[in-house]
Amino acid sequence: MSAGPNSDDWVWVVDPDHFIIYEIGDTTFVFSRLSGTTHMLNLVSRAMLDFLTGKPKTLGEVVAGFADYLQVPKEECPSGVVRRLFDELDDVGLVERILP
Amino acid sequence: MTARPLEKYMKADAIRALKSGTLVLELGAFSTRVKLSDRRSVAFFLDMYADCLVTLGDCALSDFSLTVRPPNQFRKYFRHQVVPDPGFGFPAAPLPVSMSPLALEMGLNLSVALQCFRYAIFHAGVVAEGDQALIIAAKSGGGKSTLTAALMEEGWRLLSDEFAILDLEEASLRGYPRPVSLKNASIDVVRGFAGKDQVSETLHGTPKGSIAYRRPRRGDIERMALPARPRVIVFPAFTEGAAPRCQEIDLADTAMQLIASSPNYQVIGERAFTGLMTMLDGMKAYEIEYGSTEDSLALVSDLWRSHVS
Repeated sequence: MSAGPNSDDWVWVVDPDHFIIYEIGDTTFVFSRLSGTTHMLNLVSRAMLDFLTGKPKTLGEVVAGFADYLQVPKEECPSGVVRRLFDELDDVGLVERILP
Repeated sequence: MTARPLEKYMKADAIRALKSGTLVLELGAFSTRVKLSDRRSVAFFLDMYADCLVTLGDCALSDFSLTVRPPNQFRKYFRHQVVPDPGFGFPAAPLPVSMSPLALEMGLNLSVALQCFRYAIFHAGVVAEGDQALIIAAKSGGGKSTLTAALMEEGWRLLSDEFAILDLEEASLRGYPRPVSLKNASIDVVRGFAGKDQVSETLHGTPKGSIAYRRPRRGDIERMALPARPRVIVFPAFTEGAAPRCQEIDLADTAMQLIASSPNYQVIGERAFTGLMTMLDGMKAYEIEYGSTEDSLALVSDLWRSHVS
C-alpha cells in the first residue's frame, strides 16, 4: 500500500502466491497470506485482481486498459471508478508496488 | 488412565477430586481439568455432567485447566464471590457464589473459545441427525438455545449449544455436548417440553437475567465422537407474535457472519479460511423468524426435508 497518493508511473502487480481464492456464487473470497485477513470481492474487483495477476502495470496502464479487459465501452468504465477500485485493492494490500 | 462416566464414581471421591483439581472432564475433542471451590458448583457439575466421562487423579493430561475460585482471600469469607479462572488473565467480573454454576459454564466456554487452535470455532449451536448437521447460528436474543433444546426433543442429537467446532482436515463438526444455556422466558418453555428433571435450578439476577441449563442426554454423550457434516445453517430470530417466515440468504454473507462470530479464525488463519470455504460448499443458509417454538420446529423440519432427507 502506498502511504500517499499513487503516481500513474508506479508499477503494480498482484502476486498469486500471497493469497488464496475461493468463489461462492458471484462473490470471491480472498485470504491474504500477508495480512491474515479475509476479503470479499465482487465480480469487478475480482476482474481487477486478475488483470494485475502476474502482469505488472502502471496505474496509467490499468486505467487505460481495464475497460478493454472487461470488454465494455470506456464510458461504462470511467477512469474515476477504475482508480477507486484500484485504491480499494491497494488499501487492503492485495496489489503490490514493484520497482520498474 | 481410563475415563468412566462421572456417576460411576463414588460421590465422595468425585467431590474430593473436584475440590482438589484432580478431576479431568473428557468431553468431545477436549479434556479439561476442573477445580471447584463451592458446594453449589460442585452439585451442579455432579448433576449436569453425570453421564460425562471423567478421570480422577493427578496424572491425567488435559488440554485446559479451569478453576472456579474466589477473586481474592477476602471474598472467600465475606460476601462470597467467585470468578472463572481459565489459567490466563481475563477480565471476568466476580459473581456471587450463588451463581457459581454460571462461572463454571463461562469458564468452560472461555477455555475453548480462547485456547483452542486445532479447530475453527464459530459461535453457534449444532444438532445432527445421524452424521448430518444443522448449524443454528447465534444472534443475541434470537432463540438459538431454545431452538437447540426443542430440536433435541424432536430426536436430534446435541453436538453443542455454544460452538460449531470445525475439524479443519475433514470440514466436519465435532461434538462438545455441554448443558444448553437457557435464558429468561425460555427456561419455562424448555421445562415444559423437556421435563423439570432435565433442567437445572434457575439462577436469578445474573448479568444476563435468569439462567438455567438443560442437561445433555446420555445418548448425546455416547455419540459425541461421531462427527457430522454440516448441511444447513439457520439464523433464527424469535419475535413475539410473528408469523413464521423463512428466507434463503447468500452463502457469502453467511461466511462473513460466521467469521465475525469466531474467536479464533484470525489466529488460525489460512487453514480456518480453507476449512470454512470447504464446509460451506453445498450448504444452504436461511434466516428464519417465528413467534413460537412450534413454528420454529416446523420451519426447520421443512428446510431439512427439502435439502437433506
